[in-house]
Amino acid sequence: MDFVQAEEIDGARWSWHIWPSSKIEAQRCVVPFGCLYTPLKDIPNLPVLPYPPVKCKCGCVLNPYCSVDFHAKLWVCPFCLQRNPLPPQYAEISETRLPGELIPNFTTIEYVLSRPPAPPPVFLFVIDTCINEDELQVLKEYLLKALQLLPPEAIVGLVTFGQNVHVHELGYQDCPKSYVLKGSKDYTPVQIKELLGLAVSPTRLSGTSSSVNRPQGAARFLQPVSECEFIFTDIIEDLGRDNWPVPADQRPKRCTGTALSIAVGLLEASYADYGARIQLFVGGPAVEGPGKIVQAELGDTVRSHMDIDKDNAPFYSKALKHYESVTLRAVNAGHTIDVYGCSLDQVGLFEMKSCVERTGGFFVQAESFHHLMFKRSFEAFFRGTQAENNKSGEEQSKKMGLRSGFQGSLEVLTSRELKVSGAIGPMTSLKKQSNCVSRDVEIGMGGTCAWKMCAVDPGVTVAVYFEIVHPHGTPISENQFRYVQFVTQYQHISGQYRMRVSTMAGRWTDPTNLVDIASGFDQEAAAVLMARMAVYKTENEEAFDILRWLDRMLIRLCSKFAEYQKEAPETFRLSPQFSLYPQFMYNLRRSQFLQVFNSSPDETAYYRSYLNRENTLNGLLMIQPSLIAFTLESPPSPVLLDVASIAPDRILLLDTFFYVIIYYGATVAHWKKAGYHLDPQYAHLKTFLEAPKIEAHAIADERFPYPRYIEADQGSSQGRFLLAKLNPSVTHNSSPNDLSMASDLIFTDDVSLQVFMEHLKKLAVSNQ
Amino acid sequence: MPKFTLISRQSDALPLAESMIEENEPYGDELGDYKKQAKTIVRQLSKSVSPESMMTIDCGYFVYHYILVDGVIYLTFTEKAYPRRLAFDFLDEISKEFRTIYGSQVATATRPYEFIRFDSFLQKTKKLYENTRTQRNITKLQQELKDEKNSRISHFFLPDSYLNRKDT
Amino acid sequence: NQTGSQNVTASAESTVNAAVNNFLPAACSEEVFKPVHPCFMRMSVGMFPNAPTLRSKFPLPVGAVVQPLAEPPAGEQSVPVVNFGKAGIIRCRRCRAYINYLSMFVDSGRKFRCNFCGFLSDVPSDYYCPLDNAGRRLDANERPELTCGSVDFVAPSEYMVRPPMPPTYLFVIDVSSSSISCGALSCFISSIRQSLDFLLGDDRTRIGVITFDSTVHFYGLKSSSENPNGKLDPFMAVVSDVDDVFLPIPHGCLVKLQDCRESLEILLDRLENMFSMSKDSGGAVGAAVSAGFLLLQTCGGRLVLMTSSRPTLGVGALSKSALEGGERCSPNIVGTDKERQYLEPDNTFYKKTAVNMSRAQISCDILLCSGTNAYSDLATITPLAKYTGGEILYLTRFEPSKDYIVLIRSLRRMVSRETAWEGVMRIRCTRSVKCHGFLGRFFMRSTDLLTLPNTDADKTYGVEFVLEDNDIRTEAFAAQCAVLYTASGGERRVRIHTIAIPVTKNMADLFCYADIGSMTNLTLRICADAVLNKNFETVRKDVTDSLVQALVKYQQGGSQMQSQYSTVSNLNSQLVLPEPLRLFPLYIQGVLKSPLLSREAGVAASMLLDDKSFLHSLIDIFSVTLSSAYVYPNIVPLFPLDEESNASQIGFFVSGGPLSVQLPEGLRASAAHVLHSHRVVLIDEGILLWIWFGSSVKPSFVQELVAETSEEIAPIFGNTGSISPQYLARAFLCIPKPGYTSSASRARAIVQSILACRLPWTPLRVVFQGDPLEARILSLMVEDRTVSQPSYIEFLSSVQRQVQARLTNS
Ligand SMILES: [Zn+2]
Ligand SMILES: [Zn+2]
Repeated sequence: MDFVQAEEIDGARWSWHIWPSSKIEAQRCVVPFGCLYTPLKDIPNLPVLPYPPVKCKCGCVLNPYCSVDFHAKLWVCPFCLQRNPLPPQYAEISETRLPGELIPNFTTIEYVLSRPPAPPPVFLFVIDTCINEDELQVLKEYLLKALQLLPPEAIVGLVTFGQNVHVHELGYQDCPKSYVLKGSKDYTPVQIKELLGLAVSPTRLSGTSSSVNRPQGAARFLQPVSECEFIFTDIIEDLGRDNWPVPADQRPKRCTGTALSIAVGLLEASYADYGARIQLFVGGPAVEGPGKIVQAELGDTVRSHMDIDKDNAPFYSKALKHYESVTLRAVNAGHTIDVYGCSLDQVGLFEMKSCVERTGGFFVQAESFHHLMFKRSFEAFFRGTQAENNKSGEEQSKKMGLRSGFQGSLEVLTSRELKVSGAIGPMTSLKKQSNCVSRDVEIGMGGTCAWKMCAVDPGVTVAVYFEIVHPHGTPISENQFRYVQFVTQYQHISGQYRMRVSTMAGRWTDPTNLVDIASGFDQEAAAVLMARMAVYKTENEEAFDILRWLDRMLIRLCSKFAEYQKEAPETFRLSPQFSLYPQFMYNLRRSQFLQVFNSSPDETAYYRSYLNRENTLNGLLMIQPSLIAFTLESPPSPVLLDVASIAPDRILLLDTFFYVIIYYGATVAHWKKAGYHLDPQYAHLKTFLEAPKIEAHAIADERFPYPRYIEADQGSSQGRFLLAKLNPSVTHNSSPNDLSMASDLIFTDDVSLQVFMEHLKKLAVSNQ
Repeated sequence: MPKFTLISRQSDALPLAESMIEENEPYGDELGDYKKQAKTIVRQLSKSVSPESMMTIDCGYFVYHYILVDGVIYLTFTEKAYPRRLAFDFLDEISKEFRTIYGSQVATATRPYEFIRFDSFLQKTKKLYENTRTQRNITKLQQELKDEKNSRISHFFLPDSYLNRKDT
Repeated sequence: NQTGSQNVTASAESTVNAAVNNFLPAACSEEVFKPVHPCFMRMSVGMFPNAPTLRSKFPLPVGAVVQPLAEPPAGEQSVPVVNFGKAGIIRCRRCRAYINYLSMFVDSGRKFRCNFCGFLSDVPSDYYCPLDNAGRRLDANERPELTCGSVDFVAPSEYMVRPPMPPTYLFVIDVSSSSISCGALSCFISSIRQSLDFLLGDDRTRIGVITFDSTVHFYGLKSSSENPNGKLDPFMAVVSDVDDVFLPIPHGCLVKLQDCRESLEILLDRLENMFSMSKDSGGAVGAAVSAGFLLLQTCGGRLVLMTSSRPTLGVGALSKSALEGGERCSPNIVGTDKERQYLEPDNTFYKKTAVNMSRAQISCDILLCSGTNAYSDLATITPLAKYTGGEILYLTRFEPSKDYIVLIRSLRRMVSRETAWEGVMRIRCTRSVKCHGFLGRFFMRSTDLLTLPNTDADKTYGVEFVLEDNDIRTEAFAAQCAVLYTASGGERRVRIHTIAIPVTKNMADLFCYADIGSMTNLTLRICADAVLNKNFETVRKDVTDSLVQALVKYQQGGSQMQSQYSTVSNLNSQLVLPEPLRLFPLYIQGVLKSPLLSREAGVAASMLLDDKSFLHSLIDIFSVTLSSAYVYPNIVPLFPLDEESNASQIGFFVSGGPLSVQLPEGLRASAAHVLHSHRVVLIDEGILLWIWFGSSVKPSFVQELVAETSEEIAPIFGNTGSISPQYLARAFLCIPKPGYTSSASRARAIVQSILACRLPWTPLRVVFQGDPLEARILSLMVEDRTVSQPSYIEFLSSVQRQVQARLTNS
């Protein structure tokens, strides 16, 4: 079974493809029955139907799995088994004249809904002006670039903040004008509305006679690019650093939390239920207002994981609460928040994570606005905002990874034998009850069959978990299938409202037929589904308990599906479907998602947010990076993620999704330093040295966010980024014999994969 | 940043010019007492026979820096965390300008703040030095303080009662 | 009592004739107060009671009227400046009085004796000078402080807690629809623009602009030198949180005029257009003032509030009941005993703010221009100026055509007259005398220290003196007014006025050397103060009573007084007062008839509460000239001159501004004397100048007047075609063309020269005979009987009866 190929059709990867028809047996399969679904996946030749969908009373949309009575013009819903009449416009239908949604290949299809088009999307820029002059210069340059890249009808707004928050009026001709709110204050949404004059009351702003050519209300602050380009450019060009004096031993009085709250307030009062993104650009920690994470004094350091764990982060919970309330407001209005955190210091992404994750936004994290990670990510995003008809050629369409839909929602329908236990992804529960919602099991955001996705772009992938509720001992007939339908509604960037429907059917099997079940195991999807669950658990559980849980689950899975003789570890064998899974779990345990003490809380938030939004392949890459070796002798080839893969005459290319690292073996590094490759005599050496770079850039260019690119020589300090990801098969604790064989070693007390496997085998065979 | 700056004649401590405290000064309310202290320092310098020509005087969270050029004391007051390099560059800059404009009139000045109009220059220059994170100041900081060895940091302890005493 | 009544009439006739032409009333005798010119400081008595017992028998105020920064009249020398150099300012070591022309040098000049407390202080060696045989310092003639009563001392550094502040002006302008619709906004803006060249201070002058409606707008101005090629467009920061105003930006809102003039002018050019479409009904007065306070807080300065709105929202908003109006804006409140309750501010915000401002050396000027029928609640915001020494100008029923010129004149004067910044004032007296009951615009920081963030040439203060338990043992009473201030040029100075009068134990001396101008001024101030706390009738009775009491006391003084001092009145009459106080009954009649105390329905109806509270604020700064004109108007004919005053030699010269004009003889304040239909008459009530046009004035006069209208004001108003009173008023204000000798140009010269002696905003109103406004003119005819008030003769009769009754009873 080619899972990747299947993913191309519907955008879905399932942990299990063949399901046991028993609730009890299903529970014994350990790894949940789940699906990684990419709602707006770029599917080649995806049919877009210009008419609204036909729906069953149960909510399910007409699809190729429905049986149609062409004479009676009736169709049977495979989910609830009700018969529905076809609407009159389907009168001409016959076996040979099928509408798109009934053509068997088109299990995923898109409809254009007949709603009046939405206004163009809003992009509200929220700019930190406490950053250094040169940083601000770059940021300004890029904002102006964004203005060029945005479609002319797109609506933009500008909020800048430092000690205070300035909401710039873009429709004011006489002079640059901004409304200023105090950074240290926690304004309520009602106050924001009033203070920005958005509550248009008859006394304050009476009569909008035609002679009044000044925009009122929100239009003062939010204007189409085509109309405010000049003023916007002017304001940006004139924008200086926040020039409140800052004592030399203090941080500038940045009020990020207030600014974000005001930005959300502006949009919720003006564009609620229409597509809008807030893009926050922040270059340091907030020290003022409700989002404060650290004291102004430079001597006070931004909280670490340790501080949070030990309750030594006095501002943490207040900031978290603030951002959660901001998130709630943004979600209610259907607006998305993206955060570009560009600073050496932490900026508070950890506190802000709900703003991004629950609204379908994204983080971009870089050390500075000068950094390619910012610049390239920014450009990629704004190129992606261009309307579809603007794109030129296949090449560019690939880069439009962030061509996003707005105001999205995802609903999942299931046939009766299964129910939805929850979902994990960049969205928020809509708390929608239906027969498809599991009453017993809740995984991730459960208790609902629908979720809000304020923004949903083609890369966004959600994990949906199911529970089999079919009672034990009631066999299911051969030709009965399980059905799942994903219905995604969203506001297309063109203003159209669309609905994408993916209907998937799957096979049941006898609960005792373990071989059959095992043959449908997608270990990659399973690893990502498990990883998302583990990360979700970090919200409420101790890291140690989560590791224990992962171990337990792995052992139980292995005891159930491996071949072995009891109490004989040496007989332990895993089938190919399972063979890589323990290694994935091993790397997941060691990954930055669960081992947080080498990362700052901000980094952790950043990493986790991408695990929760990327597709299976990228998710897996984050868990277990890919390692490619380049040698003079042979073509590049993947090698084991092991310290043993390091060799003096090799170049390694490590891709962890967030980092792309080129690692020169000691000999290669020596050649490079000596400049041999510059000698025409050694042209092949030049090619050899360049090949990994070309590959690395190809990887980076395809990726959002732009990864951090590192070149390191064996033995250099930068090499630690590579070593941290490798299996420490050789450490300073290894036997002298092993050491003498090795090219490199890792100073760690972590167990190596080999040791891990030994333990696993021992426990799996005994655990009955 | 230079919170206030005082230019005085060394011979009799006559104040010649001084910066006004600005509306955005974070420590605005607290500076009054430090100004009095600054004047005490200037008076002491006027009494001493051969005072150091450049010094930093520590008074806790803040410091005074002064230079003595051609019989005129240029004193500025900053947070301790403010780079000394910048403080002395600032003093250097203002002393050069002051000498150019008023140098010849210093000896004959008869009333306090006779050159108060210089506060305009003080304010303008202060703005340039206000933020240590501007490119201009970062560049300055990267250069070595050439007179580092010649300047002393003195722990100048005033009687405790001094700050509490209310002048009547 | 037939003879009595005749006497009264005769007495009245003789006194009122002396009352006319009082444009600049002389002090009792200029010599008495020498060497202090009476324009600076004058006492209500020329001899001082030696003991509390004597003082307690004297029924009139004993005090002084001080105008420390008055501009000395032309021909008088300006106040000399003294720099003590190294010696420092020489003061008595005990009472801290400043050295003055009465200090006695002893011990060969090594010590001096304080003329206030008698203490001997050392003379600093830098100030030492030997004495001559008479005990005078040899250098006395070269030392102004030893010869002049008024001196400016250059303050050494000990007199400064900070460097001298620069003159700073912050204009806080109402841009709400109410300001736009009555035309005030454009007048505000253009008057500021026209005043920029007149601002005090040299290159240190700082300036800023804030505007407000229901929100507050700050403007960042850009320096031309820092943006040589850059855009100088100001930027605007709106603070809409009017309950909690804060500084939105750290720099640029208050700037050096010199650096940012271009940017400021760009702003002023655009300002009107920026708000021309505004429908914002405004009202964030308190927030705007707070915003100004924040900007000026560290350095001090003048906050010029130009508004047309009531404080309806944000901090300092009126209470709900005040907002709803009710009695506050009822025309029936003025003149009733309910009035005083509404002359109190509706809330305490403005007083608190004013006290904070005073501490921060900020003064607040209020220029309130309210549209037709608008009730502005001036009483509520008045404390802003009252406690900070600011200006108050209230232009009711604002119309650009009549008020623009007033506004522009006022603003120019306000920003350009001699001004003392960050000042404090203290008056020291001879031992056992204390100052009591200061009256004026200031905040008392301690029992005798007045803080004056700002005081100027036009501000006058009243003070009463009380004797403590002991008798005065010195031969002379002395009072020294000292104002420590910063001059606009950045110099810190102490202005000293030292006055000295003999001490007497005779009651008669108190009467015979009284100064009626100061006496009236203090009486008016005391009445204004009292009317805020007592019923009208009580105050009216009290003031009448003091007159009766004075007459009784003088009478009881008996023959020895009268033999000693010649009196003009008939010995048989009970209405006898010595020459200096001869006009006092007339002035008391004027006080009683003035809108301050009048309960006359006609007077009350012409005033709303705002007018009344404006009147109170004016009395606070009344100079003697103004108070005299206010209680008894100066009336001169303007046309025809020759036939009326063929003996125009009786008139005297008034010099003000560029003019020096011979005035015709004045007329008595009685309609029968004044309002003749062929006449044009000027009636000067101190705070307002009226020109009354008789119905049959020769048309040639008007033609001349209009024909000579210079171009300077014509373009501003345009030609209205028909001749309206406003147009004529403007014609009087035109710059006279040189060389004209027509009747019109003479009339114009008279009007302008008198106006130049008045407060800068003093309006000029033209009234045609028969116009409804004529009622106001009739009310100024102090001698005439009105509906509810007696004529002067009737008043005198009633006073006489009371005097007689008392004399009989005693
Ligand atoms: Zn159905
Ligand atoms: Zn004394």
